[in-house]
Amino acid sequence: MSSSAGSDCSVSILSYSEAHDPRPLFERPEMLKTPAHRSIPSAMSAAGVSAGKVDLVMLYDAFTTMVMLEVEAAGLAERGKGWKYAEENSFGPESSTPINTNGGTLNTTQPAFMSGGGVILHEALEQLCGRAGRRQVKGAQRAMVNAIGGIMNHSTTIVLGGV
Amino acid sequence: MSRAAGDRGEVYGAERSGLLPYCVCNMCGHRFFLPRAHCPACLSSDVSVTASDVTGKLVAFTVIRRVFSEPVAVGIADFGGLLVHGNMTTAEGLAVGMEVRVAGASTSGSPLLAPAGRTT
Repeated sequence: MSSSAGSDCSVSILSYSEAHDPRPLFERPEMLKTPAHRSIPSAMSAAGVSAGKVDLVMLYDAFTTMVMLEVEAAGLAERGKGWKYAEENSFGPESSTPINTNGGTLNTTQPAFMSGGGVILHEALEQLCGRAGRRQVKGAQRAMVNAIGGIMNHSTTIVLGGV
Repeated sequence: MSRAAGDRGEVYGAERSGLLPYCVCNMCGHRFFLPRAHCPACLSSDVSVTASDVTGKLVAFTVIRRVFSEPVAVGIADFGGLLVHGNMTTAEGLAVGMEVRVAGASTSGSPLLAPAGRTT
């Protein structure tokens, strides 16, 4: 990834995981248990970090409730209490666990085919390269990025590390 | 009424007659509402479609209120282990656990669910 100034920035994929559940939500015995509950812990474990220990968490957010479910899947809140985490914790760049520092797609709208890569992943790269300006998380070196597909049917997680 | 999988287009539509259309796996007996070529429980492709006059229990619902529109309720009902999502015919007087029946089809393709005993 190159900056407008021309200097290079390298970001590594430290781990990757995905999980799938093709069933519609209403057929699941536990609606709050999503594929993200498998892919996020799996990727975090492979990278040897926990959600509270990464410098940035970027969560795909087609709808507000998705963020709550992913916050729970990341272990930041117990199941069904993601809303409480949001009520009691800042998501901002200065917080202990910054989440969606660019406001995610709930802020930028959902650009077709670019929501995951263009909004969520791109912000993680900007942050790890120190180019996020006023949104910059100081010293950001590790980021967890999670994407959701379908109606909570697919979840893909990567942990990124800046150099 | 029981048909081969190829006839699902005819069976799904039985909601208009107050019947619940669903798929049955001929290998493991699993029943599921949204039609699929393979059984989600055992992945068999030996699937039939059928429709029954049944009542279920409302297991969850939510009421959506929008400006300039009448409130709309959507619910999930359990028809003996067969879970179905549908629009409710009314947004009033609903309660988890109440008996519901199929009362038609919504424009989205989901069945309309009505409290049992209530006329639409």
